[in-house]
Amino acid sequence: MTKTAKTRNKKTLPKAAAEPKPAAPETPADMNLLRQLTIFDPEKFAAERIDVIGVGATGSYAVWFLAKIGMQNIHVWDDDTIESHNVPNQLYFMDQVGLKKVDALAENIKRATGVVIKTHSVRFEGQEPLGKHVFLLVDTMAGRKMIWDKSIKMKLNVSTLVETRISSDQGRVYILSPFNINHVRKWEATLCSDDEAEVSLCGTVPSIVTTASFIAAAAVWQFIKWLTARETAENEAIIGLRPMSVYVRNF
Amino acid sequence: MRTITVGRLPGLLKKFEIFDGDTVRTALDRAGISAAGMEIRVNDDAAGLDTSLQVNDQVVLTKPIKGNR
Repeated sequence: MTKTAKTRNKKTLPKAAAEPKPAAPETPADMNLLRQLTIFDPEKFAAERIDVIGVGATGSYAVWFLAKIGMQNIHVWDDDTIESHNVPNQLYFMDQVGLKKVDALAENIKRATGVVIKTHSVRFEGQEPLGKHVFLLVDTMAGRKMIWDKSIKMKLNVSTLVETRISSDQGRVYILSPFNINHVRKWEATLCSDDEAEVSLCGTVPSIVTTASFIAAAAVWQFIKWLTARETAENEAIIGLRPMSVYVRNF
Repeated sequence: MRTITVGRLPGLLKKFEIFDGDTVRTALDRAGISAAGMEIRVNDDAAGLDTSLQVNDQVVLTKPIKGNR
């Protein structure tokens, strides 16, 4: 357990709570996945490398869900530092403002699941080959295109691309094979310009945790289906939350 | 009745009667849906306001989004 986590526990535990508590998970093997196993058994896939590029609103929750379902070989890429406006809609705590996102996320994931994620506190620019599965969760279309062209498209080391997009009350989840020409053509056709983003009246990009975590959960669900019964994972899901609606398409 | 399905996401898709010579533009006008700032798809493929429509076509408008922050 990290120093920060120890301090936080000390502050919040009342003195009377001295009775023994169940031990916190120290390693992923300690996590009791009993209730999940009939839905998804991670054993066969746990060691497969997953790269999550961008750990902001969607990315931080996606890593959380991936670790919670038992995936253990997770690499995260982001060069951002946590700012106060990130706390409401991203998986970071008030006392982590000022820390690097990847370092704070590593601490939170270790504490919650025992999984030790591999952190890369840099912007991903093709520094090293990516793993078998890539969650491309960056903010800009330009960033997506650069990473896609350089490190994912037609790269035989990457067998799965998961990509999400969110706005205030809707999101999209894509899952595809980067060396399936039909998938490549259909996904590339969905890429729009960075000029078309939703902007609020005060000039900021609106975001709320309920949309971000919903879309992250949907992305991890699609990933589970892709791993276990690929034909059941729809390649595109456009999920509206206000009103609630789902539109799916297979490539 | 000869119909097409028209809708804007997020939201519901509804059936409308189709008439000879209908395009995406006339269908959207009849459905009371604006295409401003939206991407247009007909049967899952990118389309424009002047795309001709046929019976059972599905016209879907989606908002371009990009963020994850």
